[in-house]
Amino acid sequence: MSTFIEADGLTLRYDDVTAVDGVSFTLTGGKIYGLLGRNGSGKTSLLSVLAGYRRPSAGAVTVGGRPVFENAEVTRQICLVRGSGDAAVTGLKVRDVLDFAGIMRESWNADYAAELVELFELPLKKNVGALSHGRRSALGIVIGLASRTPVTMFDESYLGLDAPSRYKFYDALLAEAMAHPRTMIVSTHLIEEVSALFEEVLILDEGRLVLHDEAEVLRGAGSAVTGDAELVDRFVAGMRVLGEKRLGRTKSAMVYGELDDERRAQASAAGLDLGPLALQDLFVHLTEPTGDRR
Amino acid sequence: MSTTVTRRWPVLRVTATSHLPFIALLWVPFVVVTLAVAGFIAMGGTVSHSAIHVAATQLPRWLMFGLGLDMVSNTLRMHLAHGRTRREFVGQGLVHAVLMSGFAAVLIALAYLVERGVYAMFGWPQALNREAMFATADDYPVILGTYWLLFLTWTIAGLVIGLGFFHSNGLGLLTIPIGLAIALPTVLFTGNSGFPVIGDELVDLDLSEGLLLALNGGLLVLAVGIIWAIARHVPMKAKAP
Repeated sequence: MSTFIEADGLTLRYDDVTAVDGVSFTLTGGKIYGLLGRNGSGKTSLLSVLAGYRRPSAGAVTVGGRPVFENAEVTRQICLVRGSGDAAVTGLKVRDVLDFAGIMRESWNADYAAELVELFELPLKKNVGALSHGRRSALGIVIGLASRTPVTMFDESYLGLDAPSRYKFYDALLAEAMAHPRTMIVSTHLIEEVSALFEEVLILDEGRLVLHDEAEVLRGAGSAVTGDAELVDRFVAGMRVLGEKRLGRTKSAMVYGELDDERRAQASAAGLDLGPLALQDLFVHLTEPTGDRR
Repeated sequence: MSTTVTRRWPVLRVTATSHLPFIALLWVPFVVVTLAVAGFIAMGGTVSHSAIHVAATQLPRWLMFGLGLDMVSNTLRMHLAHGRTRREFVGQGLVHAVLMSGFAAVLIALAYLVERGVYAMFGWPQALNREAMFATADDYPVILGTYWLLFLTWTIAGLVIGLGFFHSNGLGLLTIPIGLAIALPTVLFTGNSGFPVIGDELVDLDLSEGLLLALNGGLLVLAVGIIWAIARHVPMKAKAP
């Protein structure tokens, strides 16, 4: 099945709150997409509509050219894990949750699920309700990855995981994307940690899509200028500076905008290092409240 | 269960594999405790009627109501999370409600049978303390039919209220009186057995069995309509972390 995802004027309202506001995009599929946004920016609402958990208030979303909501042929190809996962029902044992996943999902891979259970050290006989927040998140991740659905989405699924477990998740996600290419959408605000995985990035702000581009293009949209603080300040004067870091006399400034060959030569002559722009700095810049949004 | 059934009826299989063993597990202590209570009564006095009838006309319907709620609060969420549709849930959920209530009714009829054997050993009369659609405690086909309909109705009422709350708290509160109204006529299947507020007044109406069954059937059809009306677009909200 084609995993070409198309959203056209997608809108979701809760009473008088517009959570997703006329969002349009096209995802060609087969990549890892990063969906970035601040808390309350509409990430969960957008993913919920993409997965058919909610009906859009206006606009349309299609996967492979077919509408999603209440379309069994499409929804079976989609797995969304919100937080620790809606399929991880408290009151059931971990083993039961995984067994039920095997019954419900035609694409479920029980052997791979068992590998992941071992990786995240999940206790099969324990009740889901008795698991720590981190373990519940890990269970959600197992459900998402082992579903092997053509479209798999993780919405802040790392919450509660400690750093080693988060890195296990990133490694497993990447390995799975390589071994079984599919469309994966990862919503996060831990951008620094996970941004290296993303091939394309979508940034939501107050329900609107403010940016959608390839991660490499975004990283090239600006530069990190590092060197002696005084020289850096002189070099970036008049440029749009997204963020700065300083350690002793060394300073790193994130500047937005492409540097032409002449400027690059000037930086080199001044002994300054030029590196790619950190996605997190771009994200903060694009979603910073300004003016009447403050 | 065959692979085809698993593939075609996943919701049914999940609900059946979780609810039916649960009901069967509860049946054993239900029968043992109820008959033990009769035994205690016999130690201090006389056993004059069926203890199973007293218990079966009150407690199990609430269990079925709870399982109706559970079908929504847990199964529907799991079901949608695994890419199944609301339409599939309603269809297979209703089939499950019919099968599950039938299974529970068989166990209740079996409880009357077990009690008959125990009472016969001690020479106790298995009389009914409260009028029901069945006149004697050994009219098993009617006992089975009565409880099947009773349990089905209460499961459906649980589904209606569960779906109301799955949608929103406001709709949930609205469906409480609707659910009670759906279940109301069934209090007459076994005489009023503890239905709150208006149970006795309903018994006094002295409705004929035919009218009662027609009323129950009509309410069940209405309930299925309400279930579909709520379920077809019901949003699945995110759980609290």
